[in-house]
Amino acid sequence: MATLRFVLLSGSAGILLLIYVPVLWLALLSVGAEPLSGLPGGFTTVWYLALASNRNWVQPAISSIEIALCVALLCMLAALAAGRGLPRMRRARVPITLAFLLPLGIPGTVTGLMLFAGYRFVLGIHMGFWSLVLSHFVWAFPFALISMLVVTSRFDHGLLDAAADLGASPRQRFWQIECPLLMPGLVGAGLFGFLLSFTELPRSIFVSGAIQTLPLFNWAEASTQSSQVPLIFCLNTLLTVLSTAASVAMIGLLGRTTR
Amino acid sequence: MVRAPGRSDGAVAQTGLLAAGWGVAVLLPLLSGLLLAIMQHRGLHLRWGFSLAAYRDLVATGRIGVVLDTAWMAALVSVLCLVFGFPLALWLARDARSGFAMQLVWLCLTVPFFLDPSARGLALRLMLSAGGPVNSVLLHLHLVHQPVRWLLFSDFAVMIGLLGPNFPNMIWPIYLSLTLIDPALFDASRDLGASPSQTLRLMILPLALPGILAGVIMTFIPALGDNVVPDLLGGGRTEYIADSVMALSTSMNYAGASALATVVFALLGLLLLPFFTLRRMLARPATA
Repeated sequence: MATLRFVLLSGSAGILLLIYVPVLWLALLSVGAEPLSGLPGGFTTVWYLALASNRNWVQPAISSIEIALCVALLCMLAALAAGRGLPRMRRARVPITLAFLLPLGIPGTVTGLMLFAGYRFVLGIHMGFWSLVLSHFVWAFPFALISMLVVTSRFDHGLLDAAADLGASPRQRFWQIECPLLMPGLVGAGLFGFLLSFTELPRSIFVSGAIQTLPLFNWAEASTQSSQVPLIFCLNTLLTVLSTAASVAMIGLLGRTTR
Repeated sequence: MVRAPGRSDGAVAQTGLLAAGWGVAVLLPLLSGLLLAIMQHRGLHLRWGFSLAAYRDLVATGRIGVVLDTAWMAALVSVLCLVFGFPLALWLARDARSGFAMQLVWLCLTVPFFLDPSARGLALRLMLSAGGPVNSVLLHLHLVHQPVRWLLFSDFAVMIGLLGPNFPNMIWPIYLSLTLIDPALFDASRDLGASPSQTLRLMILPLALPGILAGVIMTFIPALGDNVVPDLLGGGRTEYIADSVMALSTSMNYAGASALATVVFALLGLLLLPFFTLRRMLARPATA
C-alpha cells in the first residue's frame, strides 16, 4: 500500500513536471542563439529586441485585453447577481445552476461551432468583437459563478437582518455589509473572466470573424514553421510570467477567504 | 437544512433575468446548432426542412471512427489523470499541513489553467523533436543509437500533450469532495479495525465519487475537444474530433459539423449513464 502510494505520487509529480519543464524550456529557448535547432545554444537577447520592434502582435494583444476586460466585467456582474440570487431560490435553484454550468460539459471546439451556427443562423449576430465577448463569457461564467458561490453560500444573512434592525437602508446594507464580504468572490470572478478569456482559443476560432486575438495569433504562428517562431517563444515566456503572477495573486486572495 | 432567507433585495429577480438571458444567448444557440444537423442550409442561409443526409455523409466519410478514436484517447488520458491524480488529491486533502510544499503544489495546479494552449504545444513539440533535449539525453546515455521518431507526431505525443493541461481539472473536484468528508470518519474507520485499503475502498472512494465523476467529466471533455494538441503534436496521423469539426466548418458544411456534434453529445450521454448507475449502487447501504 505504501509503496503503491509512493509510486502513484511520483507519477503525479511526473505529470506536473510534464506541464512545467516544456514551459521552462520555452523560456530557455527564447534567450538562445539557435532556438529552431531544438537546443538553445548561446545566450542572446536578440529575439526580445526583435519582438519589441515587431508590431504584428500588438493589435491582437490589444483586442485580447479589450475582450478580456469586457468578459471580466460581465462575469463580475452576472456572478454577483446569480451568486446572491441562487442561494435564496428554492425550486428553481438546481435547474438554473445546472444550466449555468452546462458549458463545462461541452468540448470547446463543439461549443464554438454551435455558438457560431446559433448566432449566425438564428440570432443573426455578425461575427466579431461582441460574438467573441459572448462566447468567452459563456466559457468563463461557470468558473466565475463557482468562485462566487464559494463565498455567497457561506454568507451569514443574519448580518443583513441585524443591519436592517439597526436602521440601515437597503443600499447601505448592500454597499457597507454585503459587498465588502463578497469582495473576494467578486474579484475571483473577475480574474477568472479575464484570464480564461485572455487564453481562450477553441471557441474563438469559430466566432472571431475578422478580429485576431492573441491566442489566435499564437496559434497561427505556432502552426507555421516561420522565422517568426522565436518571437513567439519570447511573447509566450512573457505571457507565462504574467499568468503565473496573476495566479499567485488569485491563490493569495482565495486562500484568505476560505480560511 | 438552512431556511432560505426572506430578504431578497431583488437578487432572485436579477438571477431570473440572467437565467432568461442565458437561455436566449447560450441555450437557444446551442440547441439550434444541434438542430442544424437535420435541417438544411445553403451557405449561411437556413432552409427549413428535414434530412438525414448529414448523418449518411458522416458514416460514409468514416467520421464515426474519428469520434471513437478521440473518445478512446480522451478516456486513456482521463484514466491516467485519475490514477495519478487521486493520490495527490488525497495527500492535499488529508496529509498536507499548510506549508511551503502545499502552497507550491497549489500554485502548480492553478497556473496551467491560464497558460496559452499554443505555447504549451509548441514547447512540447520542441522538447520531443528529433534534435530536442529528450532525444539528446537518450543519445548521450547511449540508450538509443538514433533519435526516437515516435516521440513526436504520434498518438503518444498527443497523449503526453493532453495529460498536462487536463491533470489539474481532475485534482480540483476530487480534492473538494475529499475535504467535505468528516475527519471523524477516518478515526472511526481506524478504531473499528479497518485496514488502510479497506478504509479507501469502503469509505473514501464512495464518498469521493461525486468529485471523481466531476473530475472525469472535467478531463474527458476538454481532451475530447482539444484542437491545439492534435494539430501541433499529432502530425495528422490520426484524425481527432476537433480536426473533423474544423475541416467541416472550413468547407462550410455546417450541417455535417452539427451532425458530428450530436454524435459527440450522444456519446457523452452514453458514457455518463454507467456513472450514475454506479453512484446509485454505491449509495445503497453496503451489505458486505
